[in-house]
Amino acid sequence: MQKVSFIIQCVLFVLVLLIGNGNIHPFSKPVPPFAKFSDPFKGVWNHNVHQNNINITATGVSADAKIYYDDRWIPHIFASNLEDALFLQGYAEAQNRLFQMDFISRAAAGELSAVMGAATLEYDLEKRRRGMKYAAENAVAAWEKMPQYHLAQKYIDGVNTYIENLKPEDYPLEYKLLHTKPEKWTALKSALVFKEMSLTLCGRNSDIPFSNTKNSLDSTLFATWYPEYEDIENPVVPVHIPYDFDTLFGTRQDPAAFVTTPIEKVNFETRNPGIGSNQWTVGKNKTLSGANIFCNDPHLGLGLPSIWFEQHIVTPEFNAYGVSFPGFPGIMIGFNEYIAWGETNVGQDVEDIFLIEWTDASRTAYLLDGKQTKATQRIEKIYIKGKNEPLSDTIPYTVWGPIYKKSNDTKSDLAIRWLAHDAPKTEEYMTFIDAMNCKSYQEYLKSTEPFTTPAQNFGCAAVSGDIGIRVNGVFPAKYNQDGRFVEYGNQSKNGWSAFIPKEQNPHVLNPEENFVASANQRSASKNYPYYFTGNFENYRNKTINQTLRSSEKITVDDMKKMQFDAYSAKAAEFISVLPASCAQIKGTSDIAWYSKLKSWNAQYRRQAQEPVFFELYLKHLRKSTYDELEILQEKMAVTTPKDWVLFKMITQQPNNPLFNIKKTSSVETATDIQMLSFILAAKEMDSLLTADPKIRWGTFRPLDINHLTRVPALSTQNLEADGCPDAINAKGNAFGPSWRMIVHQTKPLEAYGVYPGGQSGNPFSPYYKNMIQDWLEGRYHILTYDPSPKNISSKSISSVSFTTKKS
Amino acid sequence: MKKDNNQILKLVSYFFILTGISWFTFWWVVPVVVFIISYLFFQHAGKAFLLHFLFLFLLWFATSYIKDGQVDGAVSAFLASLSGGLPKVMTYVISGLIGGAFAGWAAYLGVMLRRIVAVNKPLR
Repeated sequence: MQKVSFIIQCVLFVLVLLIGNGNIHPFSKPVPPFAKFSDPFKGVWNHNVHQNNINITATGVSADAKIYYDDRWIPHIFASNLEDALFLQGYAEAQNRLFQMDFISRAAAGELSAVMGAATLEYDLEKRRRGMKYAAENAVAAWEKMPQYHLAQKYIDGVNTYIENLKPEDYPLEYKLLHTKPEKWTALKSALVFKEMSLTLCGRNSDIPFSNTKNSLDSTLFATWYPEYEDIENPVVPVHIPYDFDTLFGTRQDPAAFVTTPIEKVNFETRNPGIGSNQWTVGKNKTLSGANIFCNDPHLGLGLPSIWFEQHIVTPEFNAYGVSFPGFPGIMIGFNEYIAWGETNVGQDVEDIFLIEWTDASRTAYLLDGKQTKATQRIEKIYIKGKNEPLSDTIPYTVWGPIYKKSNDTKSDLAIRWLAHDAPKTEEYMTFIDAMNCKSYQEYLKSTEPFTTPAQNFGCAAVSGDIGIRVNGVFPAKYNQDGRFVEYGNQSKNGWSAFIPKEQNPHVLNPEENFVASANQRSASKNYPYYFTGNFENYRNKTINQTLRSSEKITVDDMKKMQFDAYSAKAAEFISVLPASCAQIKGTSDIAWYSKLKSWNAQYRRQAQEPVFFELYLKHLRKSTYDELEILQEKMAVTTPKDWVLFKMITQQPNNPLFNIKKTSSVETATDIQMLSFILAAKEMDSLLTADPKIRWGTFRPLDINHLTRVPALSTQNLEADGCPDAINAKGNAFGPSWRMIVHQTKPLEAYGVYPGGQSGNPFSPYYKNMIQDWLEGRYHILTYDPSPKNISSKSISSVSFTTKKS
Repeated sequence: MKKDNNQILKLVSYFFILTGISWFTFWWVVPVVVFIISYLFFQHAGKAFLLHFLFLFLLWFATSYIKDGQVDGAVSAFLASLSGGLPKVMTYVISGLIGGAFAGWAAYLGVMLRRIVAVNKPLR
């Protein structure tokens, strides 16, 4: 009996031990192995935060090199050549952001389920069907044949040197939580990181809702509600700049290419309208100092760890400072002693949807130019944590690209033609490497020449005085609404016939205005002979341009205030046309919202109540106006007109049938709709005030800076912040200015920057989110770009020394 | 008196070795070692359990506390938040309980085995 009891207990003990160590997974959710995780010597408590000076002997460096960390944990990299500098950059990024890099590459590839379990399966399937890994594989296959690929490889070697020296007990927290380990870094992973950025900036089109809307409305009505050009144009490249091209490329598409039937209700993602950026440079003739001031603040999804990694890289050839996107070499937004550079997203539609007609239900062949054409079948295997067998998904690839959305009828499907799938023909990975070593505007133009996608407005200011913006990337040559709607995929002529040569991309250099600015508005005016379509910005750019136009003797402090400006031109515009009759509406709270709005400066400050009321008003205004579209929306995806169109109709066509509410017997006008919306807003505001008498913009629309895994304990949520998507300080619920940088090109130059996060990816580090408060308050840090290792080392708090190891 | 001192010294040395094992090897090595030592040298299952449980509890509790202090309580704050608002001190307690339970259980099983194979070797 004692023996039996002993054996049972032993078996039970071993079982619990194996579960506690993670060898057996009894739970469907990925929970950490409780004993291994709780072990204070190697588990969660072993946080590896206070890293002392480290010595690394590596074959990857040709001479001694060093990384010094300063009191904000910024790595200052000193190397004797570019190759070694990139090796150290890879090491530093892995040292601080390994999990982030790994997670983003897995997310891009659709491989999250392997570490997160079945909860991310749908997400993974979406990425596979979108062909993200296919795109990255194409990129790597092309890169490997390129002459300077060894430089990208140096960065990868640096990452792997860190991984190889990493003991399991020092794995980042997230690996311990998910009970997994880092994988070797590869060029494919770097490519995936870059493709993820492409997806954010030039993926997720609106072809389906536009197609459905066009097919459901009268053509005149569609043209009125969905115009592509504003009356007063304000493109990145000013209207007065001519486009005198001798030859135009591509062919005009037959309008019969557009699908005329409704597309069934399918789930698809459209681009986050808040994603964007500001970049402007004030020329030397407009500043108090007589030197250019360069400003850039990209508005991307905010997260922890931050999307950006700040660093300073010094070699005998250059002294560069700025931010990189961890996982990819070079500095994307930064400066050296000669130039400052940065980007904003172009937003041109480079992703088109084609309706494929299958020959039979097997989905193996489709019709193209009257012939049966075989689809290539790509089998995607998705590994799911806790399951032994991977899930297989067969994705047909057509001449256009992968079948992105399968329909229910098996006769037709939607294929995606995305520029990011194409193998690059140029050394795109060199763009941000070469930028570090540019000494003039012209050199910068040359260094950014190989860039392909996602197309960016590349801004540059040179100490010599040049300022400019070039729209840079590969663009299909389109005309007259090509790619705006879903197209028939049974004719090869419906596809892209040519690409715009780079010399025909819009470009502005030293304009008479003495400043250049881009904020995701149209890059080119109507005069540009090629068709530009996309979800362009309509308000932020105007505020920037008006502010800069009306300012002289500009200082750095002015620019800091401007980057933090929460003024919404949209709010000001809509409030200016509020009918006076709204003054009678007060609601139960007896607050005179009309006069409050009229005296409001349209600044979306966190403590203000007016933005809350205005947002409610605008919500009801849209809802009441677009009741016709709401009916359509129940059947299919449609799009609503942009707010500037709504404003234009209120002021210029108050009797437009759009304002008539279908459900009522009377005929409503714009004024009626405004009144109704104001009443509804006042009512809703009353309820909000009853629930929280201190409700304000900061609590109404708080900001969440979530950890990659969305674990709240690793995130910072419910932050009260200034700004709104239409303001220069473009803040949304989960996005905002992800890096504010100002470079004043005096001698010596001065630079300032801040981002909402911290340098370390380790949640237990004091540098994990130490800059959030400064960012919230509009404060900046001085960016120290001293090229002397002696000066930097005297202030450093930690370092990593590299010595050469002969292989 | 001298015999008692010797016993205490041996016990302290033993715990010192267990601390070293915890520090330099995997966490599961400790229960394995405890099982063997208990089999060889311990006679009373209850005592063996209590002694090992208490020592490992204190070791894991104290080490968690010290390591947490190095990052101003960030780890316990994270674990407390992850577990839905437990008091921070409970995170050390839970850690200690896990360490203690494995060691105590292993010690108990070691003595059980000793009884079964009827080997009776006193702790020297």
